Amino acid sequence: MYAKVRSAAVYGLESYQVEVEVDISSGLPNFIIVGLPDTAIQESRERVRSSIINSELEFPLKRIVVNLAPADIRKEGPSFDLPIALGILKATGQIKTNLIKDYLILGELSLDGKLRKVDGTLPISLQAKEKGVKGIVLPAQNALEAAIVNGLEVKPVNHLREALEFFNGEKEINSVQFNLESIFSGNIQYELDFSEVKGQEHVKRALEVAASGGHNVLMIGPPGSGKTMLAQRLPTILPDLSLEESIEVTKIYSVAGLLPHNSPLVMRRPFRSPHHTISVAGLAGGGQYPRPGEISLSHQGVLFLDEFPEFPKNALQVLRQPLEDGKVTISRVSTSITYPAMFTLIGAMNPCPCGYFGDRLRECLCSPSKINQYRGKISGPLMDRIDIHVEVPRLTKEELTRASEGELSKEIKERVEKARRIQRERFKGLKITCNAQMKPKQIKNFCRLTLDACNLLEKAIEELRLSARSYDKILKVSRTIADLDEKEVIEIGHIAEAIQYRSLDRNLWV
Amino acid sequence: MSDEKYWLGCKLIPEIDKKIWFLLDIFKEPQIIWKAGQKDLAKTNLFDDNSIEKIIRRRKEIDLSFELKKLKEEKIGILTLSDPQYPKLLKEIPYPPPLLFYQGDLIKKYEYGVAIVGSRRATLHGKVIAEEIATELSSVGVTIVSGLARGIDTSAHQGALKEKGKTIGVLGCGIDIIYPRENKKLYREIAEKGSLVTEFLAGIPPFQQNFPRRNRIISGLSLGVLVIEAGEKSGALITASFALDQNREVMAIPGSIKNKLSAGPNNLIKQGACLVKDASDVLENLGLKSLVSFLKEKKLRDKEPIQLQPFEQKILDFLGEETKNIDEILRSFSEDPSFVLSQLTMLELKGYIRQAPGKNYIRTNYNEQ
Repeated sequence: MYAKVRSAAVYGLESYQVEVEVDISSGLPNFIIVGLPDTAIQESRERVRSSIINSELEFPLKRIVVNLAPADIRKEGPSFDLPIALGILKATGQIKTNLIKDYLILGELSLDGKLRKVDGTLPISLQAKEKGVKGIVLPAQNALEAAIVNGLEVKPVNHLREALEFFNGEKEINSVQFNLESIFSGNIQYELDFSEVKGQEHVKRALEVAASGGHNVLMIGPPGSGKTMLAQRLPTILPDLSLEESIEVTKIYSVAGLLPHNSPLVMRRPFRSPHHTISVAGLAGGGQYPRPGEISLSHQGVLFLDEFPEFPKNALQVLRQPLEDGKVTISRVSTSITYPAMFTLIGAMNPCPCGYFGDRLRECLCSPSKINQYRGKISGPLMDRIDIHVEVPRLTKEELTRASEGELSKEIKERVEKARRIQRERFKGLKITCNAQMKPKQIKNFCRLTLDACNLLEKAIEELRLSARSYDKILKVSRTIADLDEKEVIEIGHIAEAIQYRSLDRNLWV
Repeated sequence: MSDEKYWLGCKLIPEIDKKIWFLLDIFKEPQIIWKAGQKDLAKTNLFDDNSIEKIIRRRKEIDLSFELKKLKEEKIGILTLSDPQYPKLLKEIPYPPPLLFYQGDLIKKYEYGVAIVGSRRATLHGKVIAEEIATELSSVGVTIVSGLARGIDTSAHQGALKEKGKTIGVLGCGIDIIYPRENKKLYREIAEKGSLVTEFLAGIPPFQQNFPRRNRIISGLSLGVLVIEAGEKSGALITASFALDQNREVMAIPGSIKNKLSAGPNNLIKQGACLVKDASDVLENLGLKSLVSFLKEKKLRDKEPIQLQPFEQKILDFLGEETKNIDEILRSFSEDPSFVLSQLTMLELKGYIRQAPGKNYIRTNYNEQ
């Protein structure tokens, strides 16, 4: 008695089909799973047995062999519970029709036969559609997520018994539909808004420039100056995600099992702020069965690293490749996995170890060498990928109460979107989409300056003792400022503003 | 001078160095000290037998010509008390250093200068003043003497280097040791354009007790000492009291009574130090009348007609005499932050304002009459 059920598994962000073969033969009662299963799958035997029995179905007292093919890839997770159970039911003739071969089946079982949600549904459904599978049977909680893929029959089930009845033709299950367009036409709301931040207008402006040109930002300020508050609001002025971007982000969250239960599609730009004790694998992704790390979870969004210099050195080093390529590759002996990781990095740090260097109200107790040492924890190559430095001073209570309400995120966003459109137009046919990604040659091509502006930049480099590294950064940032101003050529005012965003290059610090 | 090596020899033996003044009184010449026999040394009653033995042993070990050659190779110059190029002002003080190690040739033709000293933890305000006064004084040819410490000292040297670069840094350690370390670049620049001077042997670390000794050289080299920002127990006050002992002028920049760092200069003024507010005051106090008018003319001549935009003038007016934070500035103008930020850069490049850590801005005195 042999049966075959189609299922699928995820490796990285890609899905591959798995055939669950069940063979029942006479012999001593036994239940074996082969095909490189992990512990969760081994334990699946107990769940499958109990749930079949508790669903008032018959569990054969025979020798059962389950093979997960292809047999040479390691498989993990409890999502094979349902296919194994249905395979056994089919092999014992409790499922009478051949309907089962048209569907791909996923689901974790609980001991009473109820179904629980599984991870990675979206990549699996996308791949199923590609392979021409007719439909997919899966736990009801995952149904909406799978329904994002158009042209796939999505059959939600709540109980093993329900699945059995469906495959026996005793019960109709309506396919779940999901109207992408209607969801996407609505405006996306954030709980936070820039208007809630009082004062700090220059930081808001710096973040507006950063959002427009895709620049990474380093915020420097004493404790309690509002760095986190400001960073959290950056996603609210970034342009809305397109459908493709949204699906890409959802895939990552689906695989990581972090999709919010009420919304199947991630439509807001993610904001992640891992603590500085994070491990390298936690940040970049990895593990025995690789999972996306924080940098991938902030794909198309914002990665906020508070206490930037306190992050382990090797964790910060790991950021370098993704910041350059927009993806991270995790290599294992047998294969390597690539996760997308295109994010805006916002680092926040204190100006010195005690935190009050340059503060108006409290004296700093650090020696210049200590300050240099603290700043030196961020390596040069990493600093090279940060275009904007902005100091966030602490405001007095009095100043906070006097400050007026700020501008709404919505208004800032409109300007950002306009600047982004100009950039997309400019970089048509090139591999880049925003100013921050320009390579030296492209900077030369696209950053044309008026004579005044050119003179000013030279004077500034000389007189303000800016490092050579600054030169290209100032050009890139001033390109974005000019775009916000809708100017073709970079003018003197644009350069002058950009110079304000290079605090750390100045010798103000000792 | 051929007695150079004997001066160096006396310096190299700590037992002699410590008592060099008594020994010079007795023996008059370093050469005679160096060649004095056991009996002569014993007769001075300055040493016990143990020390005499040590001195004689050490004298045999030291090869003076070799030591001189070593200094030459390391490009360290020496000036001895008997050298005609030894600074005249310094010679006048009680117990002048018998031997000075130096780098940079300024000290050899040095005539007179002004010491600018102050707190290591100076405020931006103090630093800007130190730098400006140093720049103006040095623009009329006055040498700036200071101690290369953090804060005011550093700003004074930097201010001087901006103009003709006549500045002397007096160290509290061996000439080969850079302290504080962040001043490495400044050390090199001073050695090139001015002079680094110390009485300590190469390799001596900056011990705490070295600094008062150094301070007597700072004041000794100068016509007067200007104190800008000093706490109540600051080393700058030690320099000022040396200046009094050495019959030199003491000047101070007053400050708010609420500022801890103004306590030093304010107290000095209370005790009778000259209150000064700018470079002309300093020159006037030192009796350098001709330089006062020279400075005035020069300022008039050099003043480039830089045109200020109306808005730039508004920002300057708003800044006034205080340090203001970026947030205060942005709040008080209704213009776009981007515009104000670019105007601030312009003002900074034109030299009207300075930026300090924490995005604080301060007005400079450039262009003021």
